[in-house]
Amino acid sequence: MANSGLQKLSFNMEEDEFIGEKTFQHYCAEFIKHSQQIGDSWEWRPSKDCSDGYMCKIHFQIKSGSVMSHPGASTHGQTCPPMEEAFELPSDDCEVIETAAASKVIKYEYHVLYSCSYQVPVLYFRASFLDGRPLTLKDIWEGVHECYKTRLLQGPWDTITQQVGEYCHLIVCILLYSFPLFIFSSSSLSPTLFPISLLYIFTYFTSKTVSLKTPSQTQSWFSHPIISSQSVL
Amino acid sequence: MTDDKDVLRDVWFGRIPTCFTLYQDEITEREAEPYYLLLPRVSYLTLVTDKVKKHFQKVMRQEDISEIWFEYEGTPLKWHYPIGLLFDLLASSSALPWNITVHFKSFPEKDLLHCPSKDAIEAHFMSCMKEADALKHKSQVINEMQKKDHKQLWMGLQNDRFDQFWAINRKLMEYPAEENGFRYIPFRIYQTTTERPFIQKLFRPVAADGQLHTLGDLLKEVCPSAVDPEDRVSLCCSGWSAVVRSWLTATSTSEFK
Repeated sequence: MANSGLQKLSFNMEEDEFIGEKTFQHYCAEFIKHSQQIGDSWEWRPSKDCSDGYMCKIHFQIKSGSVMSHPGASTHGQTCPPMEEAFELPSDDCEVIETAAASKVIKYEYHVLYSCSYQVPVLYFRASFLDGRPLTLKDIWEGVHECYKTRLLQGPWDTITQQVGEYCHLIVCILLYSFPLFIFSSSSLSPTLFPISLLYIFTYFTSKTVSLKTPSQTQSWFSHPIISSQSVL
Repeated sequence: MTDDKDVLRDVWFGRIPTCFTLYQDEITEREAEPYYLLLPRVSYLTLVTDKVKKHFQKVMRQEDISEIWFEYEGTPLKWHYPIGLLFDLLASSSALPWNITVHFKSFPEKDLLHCPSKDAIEAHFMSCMKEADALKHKSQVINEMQKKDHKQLWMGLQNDRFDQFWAINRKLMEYPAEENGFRYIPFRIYQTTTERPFIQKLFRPVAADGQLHTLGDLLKEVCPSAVDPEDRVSLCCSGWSAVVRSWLTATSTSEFK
């Protein structure tokens, strides 16, 4: 999807904010197909009775003091200060542990589910170290980029909270339809906490199902590095 | 709603007599006596156990204390489940008092959410209330409330104040006179036998032909294995058995679990 898709989106909460579960599943199938084509590792996980399911992606990042370049790493072309660098976990885990000796490797697991209550896609994620210890909410809040921290700290529990997902024990629930508002209203996480392909998920779903009106007061947000032209696939 | 007030009060004031015992491997400076408490069914463990924590911490050294967590017969107790739900799921066939073991170390990261403060409980509670209203009223009622009304719901629960809570909650339990019920019934079905934490689906209180749906209709649709051909089912709904032919009217709390 072209990044110019972002600027074309407008959102009308009162009319078009819901999608049905079958529509969600259909768009997930298209999304997964595209993800496979670009090697972005999203996959569909069906429920046991196969009547429903969710999209899942696992993503590893090294938290270190300097920018590192890894061959084959997926940097997403971010223009934000690169506090963390995404990389693909090599097949030899020992190599990861050695290279991460002076760093922390954090595993992010993302689930995109359908919420029958809100009738929109919902994003859950869990961040943990390689030994399985989860990042605390406090760690996650503290990982938020400085320019968003003030807004976050005004209402952290209203912004990023913890819930148990329907399929597994995951922290954090964010309503996907509010994802860009979340990002744009400076109460979001550091962009490196979310792979930029998640922005793609939002634009993918919303352009298919709703028309988004850009609030006039957020025009300046489009100039922010998070959503600059290089940042969307 | 006025006719149901006795039911509402019975649900709110339901209590479970509980005995808290310190885990035997916790390090203490002297013997820790058990602590007895009547737990409110509609509340949350970490909200109502400050006295339990203080009681056991008196016999422990500060360095041996980290986040408190509770366990029943080896199962860590999820604080984000209402107390009544925890008891009904795990201990309803056991003799009273409910025996809960208290831990201050080795927090089971894979089984429990952390509860760093009362804010975490409030956030979880309000999240449930908002989701319930999304189902009932497309979130219109709860979104039109002021922040102080949301706060009053929480304070009512925290302070065990029925009237304070219901002064606001009654608005969340109303629906237009021309309709026979909410848009959808907010419910979750918890079973110990399934891998999924709960079953939650969209379900309307009124059928297409205008007939009111019953609890049995709901169960047959979303959890048919729980109902036998003669419509017999044993339910735990906040401590009282519900008849499957009960209409799904707004007689219980905003959260039906």
